[in-house]
Amino acid sequence: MSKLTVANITGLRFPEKITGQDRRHFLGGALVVLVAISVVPLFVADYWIFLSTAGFITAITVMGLAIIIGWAGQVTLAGAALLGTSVYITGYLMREGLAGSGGWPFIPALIIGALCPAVLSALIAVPTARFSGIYVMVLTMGLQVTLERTLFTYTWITGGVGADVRINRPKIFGFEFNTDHRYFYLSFSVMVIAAFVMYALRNSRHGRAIQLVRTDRQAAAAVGISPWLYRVVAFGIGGLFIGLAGAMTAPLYESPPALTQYILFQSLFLLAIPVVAGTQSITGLIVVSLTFQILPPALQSHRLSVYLLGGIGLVAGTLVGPRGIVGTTLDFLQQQRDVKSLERASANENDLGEEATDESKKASSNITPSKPATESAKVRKDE
Amino acid sequence: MFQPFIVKASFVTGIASGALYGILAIALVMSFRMSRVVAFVHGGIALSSAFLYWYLVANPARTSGHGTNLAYATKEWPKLPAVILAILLGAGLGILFASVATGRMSKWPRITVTTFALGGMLLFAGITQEIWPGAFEIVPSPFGKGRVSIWGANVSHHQIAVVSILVFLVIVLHLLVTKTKVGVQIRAISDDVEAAEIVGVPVRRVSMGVWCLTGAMAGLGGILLAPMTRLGASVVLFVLIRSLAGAVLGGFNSLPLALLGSMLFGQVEAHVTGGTFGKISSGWREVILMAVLFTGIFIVTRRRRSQFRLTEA
Amino acid sequence: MLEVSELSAGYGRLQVLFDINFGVRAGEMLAIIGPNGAGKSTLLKSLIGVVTPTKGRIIFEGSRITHEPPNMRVARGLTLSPEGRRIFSSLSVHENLLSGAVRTSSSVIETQLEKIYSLFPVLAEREKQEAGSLSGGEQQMLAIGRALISAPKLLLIDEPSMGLAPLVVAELYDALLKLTSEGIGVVVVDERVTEVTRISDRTCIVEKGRIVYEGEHSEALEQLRDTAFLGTL
Repeated sequence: MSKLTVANITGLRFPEKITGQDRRHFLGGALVVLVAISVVPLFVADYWIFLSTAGFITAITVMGLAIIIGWAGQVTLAGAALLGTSVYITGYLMREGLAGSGGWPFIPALIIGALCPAVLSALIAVPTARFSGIYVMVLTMGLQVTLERTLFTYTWITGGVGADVRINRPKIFGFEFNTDHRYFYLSFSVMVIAAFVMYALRNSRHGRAIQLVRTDRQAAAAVGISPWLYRVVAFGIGGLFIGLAGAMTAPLYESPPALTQYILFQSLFLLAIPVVAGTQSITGLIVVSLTFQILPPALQSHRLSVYLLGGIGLVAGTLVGPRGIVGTTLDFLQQQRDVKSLERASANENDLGEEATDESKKASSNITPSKPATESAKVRKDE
Repeated sequence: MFQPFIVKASFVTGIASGALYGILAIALVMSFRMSRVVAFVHGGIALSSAFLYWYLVANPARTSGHGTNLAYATKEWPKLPAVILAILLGAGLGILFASVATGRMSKWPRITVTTFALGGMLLFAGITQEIWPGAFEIVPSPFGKGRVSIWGANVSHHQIAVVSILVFLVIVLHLLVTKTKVGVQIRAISDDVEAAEIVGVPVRRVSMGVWCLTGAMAGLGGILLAPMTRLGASVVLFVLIRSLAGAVLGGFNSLPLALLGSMLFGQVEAHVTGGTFGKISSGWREVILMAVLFTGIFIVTRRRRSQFRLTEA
Repeated sequence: MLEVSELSAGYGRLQVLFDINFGVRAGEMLAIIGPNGAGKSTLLKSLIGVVTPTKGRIIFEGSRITHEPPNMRVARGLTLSPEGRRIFSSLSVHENLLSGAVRTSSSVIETQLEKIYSLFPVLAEREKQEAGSLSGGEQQMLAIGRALISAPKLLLIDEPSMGLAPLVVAELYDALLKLTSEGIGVVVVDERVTEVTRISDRTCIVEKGRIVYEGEHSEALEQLRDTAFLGTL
C-alpha cells in the first residue's frame, strides 16, 4: 500500500475490487464496441468512417462534460468554445508553413492544444466555490461568448474564410495516420484510453472525493475535503478531455473547420449528449455520441438539424430525470434484477446500510424498504 | 479624440439598446423569482416570435435569396395583427414551458430545470431553423422607418418606441406587483415557495400566469430586437446574454437593479462601439462585458450567499 | 370536524408516518407531542397538503380532502402556521396577512383583520413594517394571524413557542384559548410539553411515526410522558 508509485501519489488507481455488476457492465460494453469497431469499417463507405471518427472524438468531448456534470454537479456551457480553442491552437501549431515546412509534430501540438482549454476551464471554476449552479452556467456561457468573439475572430489562428491552410494528418513514431481508415483506428484507440482513464479516475480516491463533494458539501467539508479544490479539479480534468478531443479534431479535417461548429448552440448540442446518456455509463456516453454525430447527416433528407436533435435530446433527457435516458433504462433493468435478488435473499438485510447512502443515485427506483421512522426522519433532516 | 457629438449619439443609441436588454432582463428576473430558474428558454421564445413576425410582415422581394427558388414566400400582412400573433406565440410557449417546470419538475434540482430551459431554447431555435433554414433577414419595424432628431442625435421611431414600451412595462409591472392581491402572491412565492403553498396561494396557477406574461415579454423583445439588427439565431443570443448580464447584476431578484444593469450595458456598449473612447475591437467589448458580468456575479453571491444556499441544486 | 384514518406519508422512499388515526372536534384544542423526528411536522404538512399521503384518508367537515392541494384546503377553512414561522420577510406585515387570503371576500378580510389586530395589537402597530424586522414573538403572532385571515374553522400550529420567552409563550397560548372559545378547532404541536398539555383538551403522543397515546386525562398522560420518552427530549 505504501509503495511510492505514480498511482499512489496521484490517487489514480484501478479499484481493487470491481464488483461483479460493474465488471459485467464494463466488459459487456467493451465487447460490443470492439466487435462493432473491427467489423463495421470493412463494409461501409469512407464517408461513414469519417463520421464515426468524428463521433469518437465527440465521445471524448462528452466524457469531459460528463466529468464536470457528474462529478462537480455543475453544467458548463463553454464546451464548444473550449473544444474550438483546442482545435484552432493545435491546428495553428501543426499547419504547414509554421516552424519551417511541416508545422509542429502532433504530440507537442496536442499537449499545448489540450492544456489551453484545461487551464481556461479550471480558471473559470476558481471563483465559483460558493456559487450555486445557475451562476456557474451564466459564467461559463460568458466564457463561451468571450472566446467566440475574441480568439475565434483572429483569422491568423482560425484560418479565416476560404484561406488555404493545410494541416497534415499526424505522424506518431514514424507511423503516418494519413488515411481516413488509419485515423479512424487512431481516434478509436485514443477514445478507449480516455474511457479507461475516466473509469480509473472515477474509482480513484480523488474521484470518490469529488462525488462526495457533489452529493453532500457539508459532509465533504467535515471530512477535510475542499469542495472548492475538487470543483476546480473536475473542471480542469473535464477541460483536458475536451482539449484532447479538440486536438484530435484539428488534423481530422486537414484544414481549420468552420467557426459555426464552436458557437454557443453547439455547446448546448454537446451538453445534450451526457444529459441523454446520463453520466454513469461510459459506454452509454460513447453510444449516444456516435448516434448524435451520425444521425443528422443520415437523416439529411428529412432535414434533421443539429439544433433540433440537440434540443430534443436536452428536453427529453432532462424530462426523464437526473440519470438520463440511458441511465434510467439501466436503472429499470437493475431494478428488475434487484427485485429478483431480493426475492432470493430476503432474509439477508446486510445491504440496507449501503442503500441509504446511495439514495440520490437510486432515486428513481421504487423499492421501498420499510425503515424505522427515526432513521427516516434523520435522513430527512439532513437534506 | 473626445467628440461631444459622438458621445451624444452614443448615449441615445445606448438608451435604446439598453431598453431592449431591459425588456428581456425583466422577463428573466420575473421568471427567476417565480421558479428559481434561469429562463434561457426566453431566448428561444424571442427567436420564434421574431421569426414569426418577420414571416408575417416582410416583403418577399426583400428577403434573402430573392429571385431564386430559395426565397421565402413571406406574407405582407399589416403590422398590428402580426405583432399580436407573435406576442401570443410567446405567451403560449411560456405557458408550455411552465407547465413542465412548475408541474413535473417543480421539486427537481434547479440546475436540472435550468438545463431543461436551455433545452427549450435549443429546441425552439432548432424548430425555426427547420422551417426557415439559413435565414438571416432584414426585418421591418412595426413603427415604420421614420426618424427624428433628439438632442442632436438622429433617432428612429423604433428606438423611441422601444424605450416607451420599456417604461410602460415597468410602470404596469410595478403597479401589478405592489398594488394588487396577485402581486402580493407573486412576491410571497418568490420569498418562500413552500410557505406560499401552505398559506393557500395557488402557486402553480400564479407561476404559470407569470411565465405566460414573461413569455409574451420575451416574444415582444424578439419583435423589437429584429429590426435593430438582422434576424438570426446568433443575434438573439447576443441580446440574451446582455439581458442575462443585466439580470445577474440584480441578483436575478431585483427589477430596478436588472434595469440599471441593462442600461449600463447599453451605455458601455454604445460608447465603446460608437468610438467615445477611440477604436476598440469588438473582442475587447466582450471582454469588458465579461469582466462586468463576472464582478456582478461575485458581488451578488457574496451578498446573498445564505439565500442561494437554500436554492442550490 | 377533522377525521384522519390510517394515514401514512413520507418523503420519496422514506416513510415517516404509519397508520395515523385521530380526530378533532370544533372548539377543541388538541396537543400533539413527541420526541424530535417523530413525524409531528410531517403530520401537519400532510394535513395541509404539502406532503402527499401514500395511504389513508383525511376527512374535513364531511368531505374527503386527502388529495386536494393546499389552496383548496385553505378555502375549506383548514390552515397551518408552519414550523419556523416562515413569514414572508420581504413583505410588510399587512401584506403577509393578505397573502393568506387568496379566496377570502373583502368583507371577511376586514372583520378578520380587526380580530387579528385585537388578538395581537402589536401587529396593528407594525402594519406597514417589513416582516423580516419583527422580533421572534411578533413573527410568530404574524404567522398565526396569517393563518387566521381566511377565517378558518380548524387551525394547525407547528412549534409556536420555539425560541420564545415564557411570557410571550403565555400570551400566545392565551390567544389560542380565545380562538377555541370562539369555536375554532386548534391542533398545536409543541415541545413545551408541560405548558401545552395544561391548556389542551386532549393530547396525542407521536413516536416513530405512530400515535402511541391519545387521551383526555392529563394524569395518565403525565405518567406516560415521564416513563415513555421524556428522557429523550
